[in-house]
Amino acid sequence: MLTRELAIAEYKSGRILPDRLTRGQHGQYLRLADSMLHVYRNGIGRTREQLRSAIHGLFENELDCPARRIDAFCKLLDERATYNKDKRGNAVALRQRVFRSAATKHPLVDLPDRLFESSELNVKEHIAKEIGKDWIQIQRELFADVIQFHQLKEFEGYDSGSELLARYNVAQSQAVLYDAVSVVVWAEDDFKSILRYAKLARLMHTIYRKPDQTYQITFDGPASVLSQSRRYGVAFAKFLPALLSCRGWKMKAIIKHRRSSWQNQFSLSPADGLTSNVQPADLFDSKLEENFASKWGDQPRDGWSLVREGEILFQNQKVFVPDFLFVHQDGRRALLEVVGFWTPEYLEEKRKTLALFSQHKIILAIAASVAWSHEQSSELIFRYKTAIKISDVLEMLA
Amino acid sequence: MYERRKSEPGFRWEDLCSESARDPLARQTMIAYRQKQAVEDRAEEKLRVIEDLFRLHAGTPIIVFAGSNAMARDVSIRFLIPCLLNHCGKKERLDILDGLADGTYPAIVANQVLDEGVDVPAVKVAIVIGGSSSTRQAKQRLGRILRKSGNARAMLYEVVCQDTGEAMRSRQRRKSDAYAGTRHRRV
Repeated sequence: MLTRELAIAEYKSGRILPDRLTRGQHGQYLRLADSMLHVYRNGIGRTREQLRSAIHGLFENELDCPARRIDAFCKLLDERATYNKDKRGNAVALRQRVFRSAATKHPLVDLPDRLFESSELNVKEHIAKEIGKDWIQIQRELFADVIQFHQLKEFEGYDSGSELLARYNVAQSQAVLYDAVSVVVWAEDDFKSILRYAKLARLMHTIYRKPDQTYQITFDGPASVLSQSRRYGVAFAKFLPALLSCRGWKMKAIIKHRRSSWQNQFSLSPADGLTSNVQPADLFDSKLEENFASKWGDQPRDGWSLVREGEILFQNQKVFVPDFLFVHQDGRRALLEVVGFWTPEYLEEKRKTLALFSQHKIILAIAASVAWSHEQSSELIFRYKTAIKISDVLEMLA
Repeated sequence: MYERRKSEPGFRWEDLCSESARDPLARQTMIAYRQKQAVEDRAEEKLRVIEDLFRLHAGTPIIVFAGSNAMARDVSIRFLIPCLLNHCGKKERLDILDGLADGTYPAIVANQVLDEGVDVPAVKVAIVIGGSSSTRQAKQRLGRILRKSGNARAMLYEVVCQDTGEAMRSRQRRKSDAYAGTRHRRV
């Protein structure tokens, strides 16, 4: 993702239009994107600084190209690249060694005379011999820990120039969302995957089913209850690529301006033509659930097998997606919902939801730190401290 | 730039900067301007002058104040003296400063990090080879060598390229009162 400084957006009558490169208006960028990828692919071993100036060089004779856009391209290319970072402090140790051994010969002069007899070349040669490396190599490694001298190690890259441009367009839209205070998504089609990604976004969300079979998902974070907060902007931005990979949705976000109180609207739908290919990398919205699922494994235990978020429950307008679904060999089903730490309002909401769905067998795993007083179906509650124990769950299922 | 100012007297660098998004010529002007500054800042002749000063003050600790990280690294590689830059960790910084105090390192080169806030050992000779025209920076740098320690005379050298913005900046920063009691000499 881009940093906020690299964001380019236009404001037009209360709406935000992030910078977008289109085939019609920016046809030349396709060629430029290909040559940018070329620079990085052939740039293994070159430093960040060299790569950056090479990219800037490509745009030298380009009309209509703010420097921020070029820097944004560099950032996106760096995102898919790995650099040698000298994590172990080799450069620091090397510097210390070189400078210490040169200290006794100070000052190093161009032409030695009787008073100062150590010349620059001789001393460098001497140190190089002492360390056992070429001086040119030593000089290259001397400041290897400085960010701009990191050397490119690998470049995973983008498949094509147009993919880079697509990524750029998405990244600019994401950058707009950094300042979002709330996001509403209406889903018609592909509802299940949108919901799953919504859960993964680790945002509090409320879902409503509208009479016309569409769903309205409102996102906000714990602090939104108190005041309008931009704190969840980054989470919104992370959710965007996942949303883009789905079908049949509409999004509207309220963007708060950083220095003043005015607000703008940012709307997006598949008609805007942004694309992203998101692999479902993290399947779990918390480490806790991931650990539990991997501990459980693929094999059924006591006849119960585990399905992740396989069930969506409806009750009038309310929608509920529990974390896990257990299916027994004889057809019995049970649901498990994990409650971590959230605000009291969120817990209250959860309680109401559970009351609505009381005809299902829902087991609750509640963090020991959460104060929870639930009157109904108390036999289906257990508490966990740091990890969910399989034995506890099996006991509940039985 | 010169031509534009003839036709539009109010044309400023900021305007040029905003134009550089659309106009390749304006962008080239910006790049050329930055290159010119880099040439001034990293002039090789400065290294030769520093060598002379090192010869002159052999045996006394010296701090070299650079205007940019690139120049600081140039000096560091040429004379193999430690450079104190923003990427140095705490451990390395302490090693360099202690080394200067106890004589392990005969001289160090620093950028702006030594301007303020860090406790620097008593040094009587400093060489300024670049920096801004701000009087605050100049005062801080001068203050580094004007510590009360005996009657030793402190020396501050400024190395600038003739007929460039650097000479002007040097004049600008010496306007501060801190320089009131000092004697200048052009070498």
